[in-house]
Amino acid sequence: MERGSFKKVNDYAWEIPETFRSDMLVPVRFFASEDMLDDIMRDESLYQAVNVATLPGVQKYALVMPDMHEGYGFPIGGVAAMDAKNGVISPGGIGFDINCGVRLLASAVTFQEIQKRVPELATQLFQDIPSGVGRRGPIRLSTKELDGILTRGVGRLVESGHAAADDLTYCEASGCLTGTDPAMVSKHAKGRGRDQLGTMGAGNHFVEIQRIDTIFDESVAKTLGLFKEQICILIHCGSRGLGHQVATDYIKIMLGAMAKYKIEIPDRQLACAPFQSPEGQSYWKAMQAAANFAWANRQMITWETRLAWDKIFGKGEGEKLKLVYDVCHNIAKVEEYGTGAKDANAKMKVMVHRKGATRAFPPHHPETPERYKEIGQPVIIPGSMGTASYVLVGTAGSMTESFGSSCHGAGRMMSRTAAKKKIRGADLKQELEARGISVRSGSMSGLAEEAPFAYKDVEKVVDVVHNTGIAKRVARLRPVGVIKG
Amino acid sequence: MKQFELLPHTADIRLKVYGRDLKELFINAVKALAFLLKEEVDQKKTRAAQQTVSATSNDIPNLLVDFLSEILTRSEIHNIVYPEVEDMSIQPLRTTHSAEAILIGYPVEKFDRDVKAVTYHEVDIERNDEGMLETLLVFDI
Repeated sequence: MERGSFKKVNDYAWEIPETFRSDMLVPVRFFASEDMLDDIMRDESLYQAVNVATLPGVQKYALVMPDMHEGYGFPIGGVAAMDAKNGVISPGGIGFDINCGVRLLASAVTFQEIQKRVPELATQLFQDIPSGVGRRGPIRLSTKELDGILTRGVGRLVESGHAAADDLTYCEASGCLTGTDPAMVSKHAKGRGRDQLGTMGAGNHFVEIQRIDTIFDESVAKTLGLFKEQICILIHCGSRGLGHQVATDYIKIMLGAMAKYKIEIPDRQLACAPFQSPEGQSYWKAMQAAANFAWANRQMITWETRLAWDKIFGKGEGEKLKLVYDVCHNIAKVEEYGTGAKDANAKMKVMVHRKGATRAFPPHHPETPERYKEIGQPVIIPGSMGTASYVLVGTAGSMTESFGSSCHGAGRMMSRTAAKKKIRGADLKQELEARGISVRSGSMSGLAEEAPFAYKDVEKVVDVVHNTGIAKRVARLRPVGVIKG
Repeated sequence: MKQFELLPHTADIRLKVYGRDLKELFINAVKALAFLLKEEVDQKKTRAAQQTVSATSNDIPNLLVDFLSEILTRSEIHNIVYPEVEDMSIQPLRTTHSAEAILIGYPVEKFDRDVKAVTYHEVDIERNDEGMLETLLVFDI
């Protein structure tokens, strides 16, 4: 896309007007600093956002976060709010990995206290958390057991002893969306997910041992239970094959149904149906079930992490790993926002699609846990395996500027093939180990694909969301151990 | 003759697949998927499994994606890659199109890549200047 195709809104926001293409219903707004623009224009991200701006019922503007990169259908970093009454739901706007997300566990120890044992801990985590492609989880669920997970998410794991009560409290939506119907999840999807609970997968998914190196806001950090030099565990993964299949199934169904609803789209991957239609409602129920599976998956990995921690530091020590927050970045939610009408209290219900974007609710939002009421919802932004990750909190600006959303990571800028051409996995491992990062990976080729230089500068991405006022920096973490599939 | 080639994509995998006719295009796409899942399969050491796979769709590009998605699902559930195709048939009908094939697969302990899905993004079957059919395929990784 050419520089002349969009105009500056302020130092961190840019807009492609709806006159850019005749089928656009709203403008595209994207967040970036001026020096990020050249990289952003290199791939298809902004054209994909223009396609999103054509979807029926889209409100205000199609948004893209500063960690954007091209995807398929929606760009990664895309946010779109559709009128919940007359608009559509698009599985491509959530992605195949439904409720892919991150959770942060805080330990009670400092880096200095366990520094010598970090390599041992990394090895234990690699052994105890199934990772890689095709690796099965510790349990194979019967259909009844699987339906229990799809209906109740983390709540089911509290009953089975794999989760503590606090693990529920500090998950987005308390680790369970309640509008599910497991009957809307196909046999194929259940077949793919049945033995994948508690597995990490591969690609950009990981478990990392992190050390907090900077606190930006002492008071907020204290409320979150975070302090300088603290050791934390960061977990990134999603709904595995079950979620992938739910998306696959419903994109096909919607492609077949669009003619009936007279919907035309510029990209097949944006297949959609009216949210209130039978197809829209079936997907909605299946998507929520897959989201519950993802939360349960991250919870099982938490359980495996606590057991691994016990093995290194002694029985009962794993329980001291407290969940700070678990937040999703591939999901759709029904939420209420101001309409911009003269009546400041006028609100409308919208279906917010977040694909590679994190919810960032401000202080006093009813969906924020009681303990975090005064500070806002935690926003967890993983960087790459060699660079910083961030904890932020949502701010009031997110409700007026970005449909309660923020970025979700650093954002890729180099293809996997190009990354592998630039460095061998073994060399990258050696390089990271020399910097004090213990790396355990089942695939050297997969490791090279995730090299830090394949990602944007996370500092710049976080600067943009902080300065835009949609989330506020709280703490920065640096990896000391990386576990990948 | 080139069966498929990898093209750049920022985060996922973009392939261009070729074929002299529709049948060959579908077969090469199946081979491409098997390659993404496992670049090298020791066919001498592993006992082959045979499976009939079919799909139906409202147009041919969608049929290609749906057919590959069906194979991907079976690969993941059974930990098998299917690099060989026998008896490929494609039936273009008036409103529904169908594809069916017998696939020869090989069990693997693990895959090389986590192929999450076959996407419909950019799929568009066209004849190129050399008279070959070609299409782009984007796989979510």
